[in-house]
Amino acid sequence: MASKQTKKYQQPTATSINVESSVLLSLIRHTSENYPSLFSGSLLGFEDDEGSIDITHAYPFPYADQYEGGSFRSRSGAKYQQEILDSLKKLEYGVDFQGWFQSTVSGNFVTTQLIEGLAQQQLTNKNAFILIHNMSSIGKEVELKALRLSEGFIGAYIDGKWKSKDLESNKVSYLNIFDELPINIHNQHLVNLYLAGLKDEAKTEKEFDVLNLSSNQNVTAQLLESLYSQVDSYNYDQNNFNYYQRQNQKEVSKITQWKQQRKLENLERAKRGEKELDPEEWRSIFRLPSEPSRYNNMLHSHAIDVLADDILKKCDEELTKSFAIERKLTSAEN
Amino acid sequence: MPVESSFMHLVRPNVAAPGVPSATGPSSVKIHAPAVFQILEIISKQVLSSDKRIIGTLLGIRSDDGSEFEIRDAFMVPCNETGDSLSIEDSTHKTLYQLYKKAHPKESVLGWFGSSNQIDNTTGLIHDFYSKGSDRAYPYPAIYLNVEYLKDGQISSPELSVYIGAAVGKPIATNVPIGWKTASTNNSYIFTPIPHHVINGSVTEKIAFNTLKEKSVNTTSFVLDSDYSFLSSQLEQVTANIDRLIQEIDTKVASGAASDRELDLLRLLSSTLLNKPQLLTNLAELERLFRDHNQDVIMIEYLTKAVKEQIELSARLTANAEADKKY
Repeated sequence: MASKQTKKYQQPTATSINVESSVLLSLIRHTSENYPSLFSGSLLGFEDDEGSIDITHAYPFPYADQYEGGSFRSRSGAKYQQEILDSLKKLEYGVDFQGWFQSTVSGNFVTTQLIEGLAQQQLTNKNAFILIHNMSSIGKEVELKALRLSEGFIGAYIDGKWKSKDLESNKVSYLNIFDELPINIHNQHLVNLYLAGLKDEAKTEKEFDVLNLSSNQNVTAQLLESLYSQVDSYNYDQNNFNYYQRQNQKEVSKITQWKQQRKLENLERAKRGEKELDPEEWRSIFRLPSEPSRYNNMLHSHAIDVLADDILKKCDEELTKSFAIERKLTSAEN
Repeated sequence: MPVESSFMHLVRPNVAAPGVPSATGPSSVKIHAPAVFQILEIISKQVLSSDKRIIGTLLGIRSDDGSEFEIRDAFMVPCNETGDSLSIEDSTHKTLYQLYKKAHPKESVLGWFGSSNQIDNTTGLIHDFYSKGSDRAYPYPAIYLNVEYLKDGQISSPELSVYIGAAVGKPIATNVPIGWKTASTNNSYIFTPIPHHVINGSVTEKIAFNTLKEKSVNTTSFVLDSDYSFLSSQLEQVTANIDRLIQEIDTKVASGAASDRELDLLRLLSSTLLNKPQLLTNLAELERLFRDHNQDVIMIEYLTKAVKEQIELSARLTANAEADKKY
């Protein structure tokens, strides 16, 4: 964790993200073609006067990520990004780096690397954000969301201690690590004209895969596995914390005992007319253990929360389909 | 979007041996939807009054025999026309291509795109640039994608057409700087139209494309959201499809004017519907299976909810415990 921050955090001014339709499509193509490899890349565009960020270009990083956020802080990624930007500047595009996109499966994107990269970026560029493409419903539905770290989280990040009272004072919990921004899809007029000129094509069965009864099976299993591993990591971290709490408890009871004793002693001394001993002396005798960082706990909690929501969504869909199909099949016979 | 006009290829042109027919069949081009959008966006930047030409490089894959093309991406390359000569910024083309190549090692330059109303001398000049030299289409023939969106000075629905170019006449000397119009070079090309269609790579992409098509009627932007409504909207579409089918069948039956093909289709439909696995007739078993399945799903939901709530509980308890600390 970076302990000293020289950069100053500024509140973001952008309230929404405008994405060109070509960016949307090429991003989705790149991430879904390479699934299950994870890919990320830079989003280039500009800020407009109405408080939103317009994304006009997306360039994937040359190599797949081993984990989410892996390329953000890597030197090769940054170099590639800069080269692209330089060449686009030559074309007089007037675009700048605005954020990243990252493909992921459900809540797995909450990694320290991704958070670290995004936090550093938000400290330099107040409107930096990340576009998360959730691949858990690949082939069925497009799930994109634009996120940036909340003000409270950045506050705690700058403090860098991640103790419960820091979290409390920054009003941040695992539920509000991120702020979500609405995504607008924007078409150039020519694109609109082109779309309007298209004939309706017959849709194939594949596009209705979401309606297939068993289409979620693999995904649910995969999500559950991710959930297990997140819960495991969570428990690992929680063990440390439990250890701390037990230690703390022990010390606290020792201090209480000591205080009790000192009180009695002082009473005795008062009776004898002697000078009282300092009742605050315990501070130099006992050392309370310091609270371990809650940082990992927060990240795992958030990942678990997102994963759980996705699993619940899949299960709800599954139940809806299952009940509908069951009723149809069993009533048709009667 | 298949092009209506039909194509007949007798000769597939070739750069290496101009005018010599090659044995392979006709060429065809698949254009990925993101590439079309990108090209259209680049072309939108054209300033009509100054009539500056906008061109760019097409990137993608070609099949081993060079007869099939897949245009997957495109970028703009600046070019300047002064009178009769033309300069293309080779360095921009080169750097952008090299950068693109890093992320997409399997793809290469296929040709170029532009937006003009006619094929003229300059078209040949640009084509010459893309047909020769390293980092370009050579040794394969370059293709040329034209987007025509001006009709009688009015902006209209853009029309795509793809050509493959073959050099005619005596090949030029190799030491002539490429892309520059010099008096003696040969840059005459025959542009043969080839069929193309726009495709979507993956299913997810197609879903996104359809969403774009449905939502961007009479508006230039809309909000992308992902929630439960997706399932119901898909259901509605299927229901609408079935309704349409039933209506179609009804009208055909009423008029008694069904053709053989339609009858075959109906037979196929009814046999698919009637032909069901044994399991479906065993109602008790079927119900049991469904019940088991639903219970499994509900169990997963229940446990997941329990985990979710545990996490929240733990966070709250920890916060409380730490806030209540005495020392």
